[in-house]
Amino acid sequence: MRDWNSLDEDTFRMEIRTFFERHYPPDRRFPPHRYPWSQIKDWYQTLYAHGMIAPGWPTAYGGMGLSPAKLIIFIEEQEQHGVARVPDLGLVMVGPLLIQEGNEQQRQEFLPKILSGENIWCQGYSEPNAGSDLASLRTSAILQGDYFVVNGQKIWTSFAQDATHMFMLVRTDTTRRKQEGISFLLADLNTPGITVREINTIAGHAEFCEVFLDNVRVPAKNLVGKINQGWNVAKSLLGFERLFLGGPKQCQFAMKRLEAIARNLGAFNDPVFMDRFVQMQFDVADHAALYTRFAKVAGCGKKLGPDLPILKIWATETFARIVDLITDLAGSGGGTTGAVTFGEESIEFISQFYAARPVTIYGGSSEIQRSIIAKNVLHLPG
Amino acid sequence: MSVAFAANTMSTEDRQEIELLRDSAARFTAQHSSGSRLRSRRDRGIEFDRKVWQSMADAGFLATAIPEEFSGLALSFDHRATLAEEFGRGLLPEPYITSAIFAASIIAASDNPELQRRLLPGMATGELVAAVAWEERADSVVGGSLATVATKTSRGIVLRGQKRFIRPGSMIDGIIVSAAGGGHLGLYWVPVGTTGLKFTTQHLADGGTSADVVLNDVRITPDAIVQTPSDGASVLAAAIDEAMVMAAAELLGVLRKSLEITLDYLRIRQQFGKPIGSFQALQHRAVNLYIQQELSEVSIKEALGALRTESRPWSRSLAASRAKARSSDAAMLVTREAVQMHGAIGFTDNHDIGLYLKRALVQSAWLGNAAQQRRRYAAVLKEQGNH
Repeated sequence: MRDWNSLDEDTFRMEIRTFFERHYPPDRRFPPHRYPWSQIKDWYQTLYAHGMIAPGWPTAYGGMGLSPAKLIIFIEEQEQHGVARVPDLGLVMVGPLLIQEGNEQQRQEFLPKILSGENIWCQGYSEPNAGSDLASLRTSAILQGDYFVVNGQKIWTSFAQDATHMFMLVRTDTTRRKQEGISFLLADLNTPGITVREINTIAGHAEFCEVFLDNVRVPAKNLVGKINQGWNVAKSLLGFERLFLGGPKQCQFAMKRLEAIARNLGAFNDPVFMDRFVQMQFDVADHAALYTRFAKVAGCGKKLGPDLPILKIWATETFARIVDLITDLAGSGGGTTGAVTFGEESIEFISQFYAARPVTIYGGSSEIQRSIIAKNVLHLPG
Repeated sequence: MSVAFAANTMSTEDRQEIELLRDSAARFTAQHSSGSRLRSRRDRGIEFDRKVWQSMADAGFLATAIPEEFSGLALSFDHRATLAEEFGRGLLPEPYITSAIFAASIIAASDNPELQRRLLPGMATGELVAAVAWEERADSVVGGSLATVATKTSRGIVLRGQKRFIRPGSMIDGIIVSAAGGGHLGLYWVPVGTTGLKFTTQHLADGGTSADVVLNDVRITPDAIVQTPSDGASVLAAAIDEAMVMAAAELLGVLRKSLEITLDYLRIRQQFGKPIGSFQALQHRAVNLYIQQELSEVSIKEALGALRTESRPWSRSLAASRAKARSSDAAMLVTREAVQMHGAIGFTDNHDIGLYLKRALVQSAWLGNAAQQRRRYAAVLKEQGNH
């Protein structure tokens, strides 16, 4: 087992960079959307084979055991290189959760299979009537002997079609205040009574699903934490990975695209475009500076402040504005699916346009994030 | 992304010292600045208060940009910006940035030690107030040619031309004039009262003044040369960049305080039986203001880092323009919204919130508003061959 933390930061950064350069498939850098399991499985297994699939986990459980500062470097290099996101909910959610809140039996049962990619996890939180107001979820779980019997429906479950397991929030008590009757359960998607149906997005991909649960018997030993404590268990998961919901790379990459397109179209001679372009540069540079401020805090192992959501708001809304500018540049070609030919170059516009839509919705919509900041940072009355 | 852990290398002692300085500046503005003082200054048309200026000198605030050999303190850019931010918070009207930073830093960079000995100690003690006369058009900050001319004669130098938007526009003892001569930009010290100077003064929204000056064959002696023409342009450009960052810091102070006042108001003002701050429409707008405040803070931090460590002048200019653009836009947005959220009371002269709007208006315009900073930034990029 390597002691990564004994390397100084620059050496570590160079090693990680070299690793990605050597091993990551070059044709899959900076993908416009997330890959299904079939197209990313090989990369997952490469990372596993090199012991680098779980950078944040302790070495005792097969992780790299990186310090917060090194973990940030790892993720920054990953983003810098344009490495596609693997199905990582097992790695960033279930694993850390079981290490922190689970029991030894659960750790032994689930952790090795997360590392190897044998188990792929999806997240069963949202329901048709519980989106932003997640705590009003209604999928019920009733304890009968050694099993919970689960009935209900989950929705917006990303890549459930590729997953083998789902962690979910279920209602185990309807008599208490809504946050206090929720429990955290782990389920094998092969259990009878579970139906997964794909949902097509406006971008034309099936990135998420709905999951129907009809008298599904989930072993009681798959309860994480105590019964009716699921809300707190879920909240304890919101660690510093949230930092990367607002990471700088998506905007910086979009800026590079914008620049290339603008150069190709000769837009830099247009003062109106130039004004908007410079504004975008300021927005992206100031976002990166803001990210740096938060990353420094996290890098020291300190808790991130309640104002963290401003990073995600600014990242995603800036990304959307860059994409608007790209779409404007496309002119008459703006509504075209597939590539548009300009002179000698073919440029694809619309995937970026679609990519800018979900980012301000998932992980807490911009509106929800603003309400949270109004309450927790600005201390405005409820 | 290696900047994440490398860029900011200020020591803990520096930080502690800066926080002490912040406290002392905050105490100073609490004692010396108030809405009523600003209104009376405006009504009486007096640029600033000599007594307060003297107290600032006693506290060392006027010596931050002056080298130690000329009775100065030579404090870091971060120290200077901390003062600027606190003076912004307190709406202190004294010409700290325009005179004690902008003008002083040009003299401090002068290659004429005799002139430095004559001017700098007096600037540190507050006896001498200087201003920079470099703008000729409302968009000089974006570039363009220089029309004021310096001609060498047997009896010295003759300055001819017009300068605009000199700040402060009154109660000054002399101006630093930029003029073209021999194909270069030179800088010249011209005491107020010199024959051939004709000032026209205009009032600013915040109660201060701005002056235009006609230089009609103004004769000065060679010992008044601040900077020999070959280096004049780079000295002036560096001073402008620094002053921009300081103005950005002042604007940050203005908008921070303005947002604090507004959030307090949202918490206590009741309508429809509840505090108006409980309405989501206002909450989300308040968060937008908060985001702009935080972006201004980090943008200024990066610009200060560039002033501290960046040796390429164009790169400093980019960082300065970015910080000035962000904080100008942010201060205008926050103070306009502050008035709006206060409702009718916010539009009255009685309420202090309007004073923040006026200061934001004046300081965002100074040395280039946000739109001009974007043009300047684009021009620098183009010059560097980036686009």
